[in-house]
Amino acid sequence: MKRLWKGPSRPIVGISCSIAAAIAAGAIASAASASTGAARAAKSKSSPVFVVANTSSVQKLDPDVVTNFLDFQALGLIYDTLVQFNNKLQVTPDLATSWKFSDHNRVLTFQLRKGVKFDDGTTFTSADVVASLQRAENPKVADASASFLASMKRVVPVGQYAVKLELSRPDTSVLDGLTSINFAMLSKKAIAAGTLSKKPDGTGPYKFVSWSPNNSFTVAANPAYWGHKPSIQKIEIKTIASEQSIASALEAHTVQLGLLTEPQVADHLPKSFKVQKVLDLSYRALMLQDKTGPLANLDNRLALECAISRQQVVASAVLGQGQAVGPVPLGPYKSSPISAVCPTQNLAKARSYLKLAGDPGGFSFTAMTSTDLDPTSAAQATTVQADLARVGIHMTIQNLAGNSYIQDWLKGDFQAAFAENGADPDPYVMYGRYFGAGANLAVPAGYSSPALQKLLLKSDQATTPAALKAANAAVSRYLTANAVWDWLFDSYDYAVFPSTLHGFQLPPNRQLQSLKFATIS
Amino acid sequence: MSSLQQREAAGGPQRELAVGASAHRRSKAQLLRALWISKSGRAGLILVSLVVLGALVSVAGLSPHNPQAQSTSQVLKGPSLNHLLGTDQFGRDIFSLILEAMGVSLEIACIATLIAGVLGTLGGIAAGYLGGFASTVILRAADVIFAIPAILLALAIVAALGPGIMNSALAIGIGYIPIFVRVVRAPVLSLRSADFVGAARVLGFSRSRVLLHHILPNVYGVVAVQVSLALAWGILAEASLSFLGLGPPPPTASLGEMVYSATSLSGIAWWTLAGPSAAIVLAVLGFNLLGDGFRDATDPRTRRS
Repeated sequence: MKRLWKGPSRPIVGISCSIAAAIAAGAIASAASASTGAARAAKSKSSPVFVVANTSSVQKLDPDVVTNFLDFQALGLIYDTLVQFNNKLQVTPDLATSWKFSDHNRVLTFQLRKGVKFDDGTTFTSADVVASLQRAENPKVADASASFLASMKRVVPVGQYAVKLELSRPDTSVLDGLTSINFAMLSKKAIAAGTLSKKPDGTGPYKFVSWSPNNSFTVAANPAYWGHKPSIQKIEIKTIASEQSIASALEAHTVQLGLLTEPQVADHLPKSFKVQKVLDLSYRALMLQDKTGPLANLDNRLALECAISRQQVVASAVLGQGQAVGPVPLGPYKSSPISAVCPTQNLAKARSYLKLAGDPGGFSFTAMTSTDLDPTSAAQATTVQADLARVGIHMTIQNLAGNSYIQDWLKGDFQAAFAENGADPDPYVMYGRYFGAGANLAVPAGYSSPALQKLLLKSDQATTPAALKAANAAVSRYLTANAVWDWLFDSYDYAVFPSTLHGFQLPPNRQLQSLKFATIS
Repeated sequence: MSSLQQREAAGGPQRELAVGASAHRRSKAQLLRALWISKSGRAGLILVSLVVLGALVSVAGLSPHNPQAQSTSQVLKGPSLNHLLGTDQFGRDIFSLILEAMGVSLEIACIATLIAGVLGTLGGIAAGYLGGFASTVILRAADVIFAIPAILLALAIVAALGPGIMNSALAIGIGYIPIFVRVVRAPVLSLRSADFVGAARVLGFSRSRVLLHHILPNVYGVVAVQVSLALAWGILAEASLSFLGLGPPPPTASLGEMVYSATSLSGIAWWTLAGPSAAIVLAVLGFNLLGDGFRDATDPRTRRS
């Protein structure tokens, strides 16, 4: 029988088809071998550098101004805070050994740890705490969590190893706020020298070694650390473009710890890897700039809220391994229902809101994503785009590089943004910095209202569990009834590592500090 | 009676055009026959027909499923009678998505080829026929574009103009112009001194008439081969741009973007990667084989063998 085609008879056909096949095979290859970046991640299995891989990259070194999750994780290895969360999200001592509220929760006094030294050799004292907190509340510094200190009238040293925070009103949530790396304890000397954005100087288990923007961040064990001396001597946090490549790098032993968010990658590594799956202390939301354009109209925003199927977003973005959430994703004040207006997708209601808005045919807007920062954001956006199209709302997706996204986000230079924001068991701590009076992230928040500020203040001042519950429910209700943003879901974080790594535990806030306890067998 | 007067008595330029058109039609029929006789050409023709047919099916709205319809209950289902190539993470039918994406790829490749073909052919004819300073300018400009890797040039253009079907087509097309210039210029150089071209000049025909009626038809075969190869390159380049996130933004379906999305899913749903990858390979293979067939059909040496 005569064959139709024997094969390429000209080199050009062979070459072109090889290229075509290469495009297709490139994807397969990425599953089979580490990317170039991954391959360079570490030299060999026996390398003394412990490589942690993530798709994101460290953006800034000044702990007061960071907003990127990986920045918090990287700087968390170098800096200590006064207090910290444990794995159960309880506040525990760090550089403060104990604390006490007095004067009807208007004064908070910390006893400080002795024998702690900064990387520059100076001793940690109350003067450093005062300098750190004063710097954090300085508007010129633009501390990303400055709102948590809104109630702080002044901070005064009480001897060398105690400080007193005098508050303008009863405020117990300030303690939760102080767990943030945005309130890391800085050296008074480094603050005065103005070197913090170039050379981190902390008291943590690791010391800063080097930073290659968009590539890697390296730290080495701090021999003068006051706590448990780390066994792992050098850690490099490496940026690898895709989670599939991170998985390949793990299999190639060029990465020792992968920080992942995509379940399809984490769950399908060989059994020889340990996978820690943690419901993270963050939430995904479609943040809206509510002051101009079609999104300034409440009915248009409500149409948006009703048109989105959060369940579909969870199914596509994290293959069902997450849960649809409202403004408060977890803890005792978890939002219930998820939305005050449309707890589940309701297209008829969405259309009726569009009619009320005077836009029965729908409207258009642009939403930004960054797959560098959140690999699931493209899938979230694709699902939301399809949902909105069903009621005539046209959403254009703009995918940005991580650093561009963060710049635009901080400047509020977007109409809508698929964001992954840090959460907290205390709703005031979570939203005070976005919507509270004097909120330092009011610009990216894109919405402000005196009514919401009042509700948040009430939540902050509530002292009894019943009052707290009622106040926080009111905050949740307000946020969804006004469709301030569209809250989507909470999902899992995955820490994947070889079974030879012991003692590491990824907490819900994703901090890597437990690496100081980790050992490699 | 001068030869010019004799020609005019016989019907003048109109008759000449009619004769030319008739000859052209005959050559097209011969070309198609020769294409079908060539094994590469026949295989290419079949593959390209399938690709075009698939795209037309999608454009006509005859896909088995709405390619953009998402379904929570159909997420990552394997190939079945209902979903021939399975479903993706959104529960969309991959076969229908491929048909839609093929249409987009073809649209971009066709526009890009049109840009490169028209500008490159005109540039090549001008460079070959006019010679001198015009040739130098055109060839140096082509060299400048050649000096930049085509995919890098396309990336830069899309990054500057923003993603979109027209911008992708423009970016891909510009990178291919120098190839048309060089390929067309070579035969024009020899045609310039051919007897029939000299005769046309002696008859007093205008330069544009000589170029369009006597030179252009004679580089048709070369251009046809390049058009086919340019279409293959266009599909490949569009897939590359989309793979890198610089293709048309969602919800416009794109083969490269489908391959990219499938990379993280390949471990649990191989079909998400297999379908779009195979579609790219078949489309590129088809156009390359077709180009090969064109060359067989238009190259006198090949025809003799």
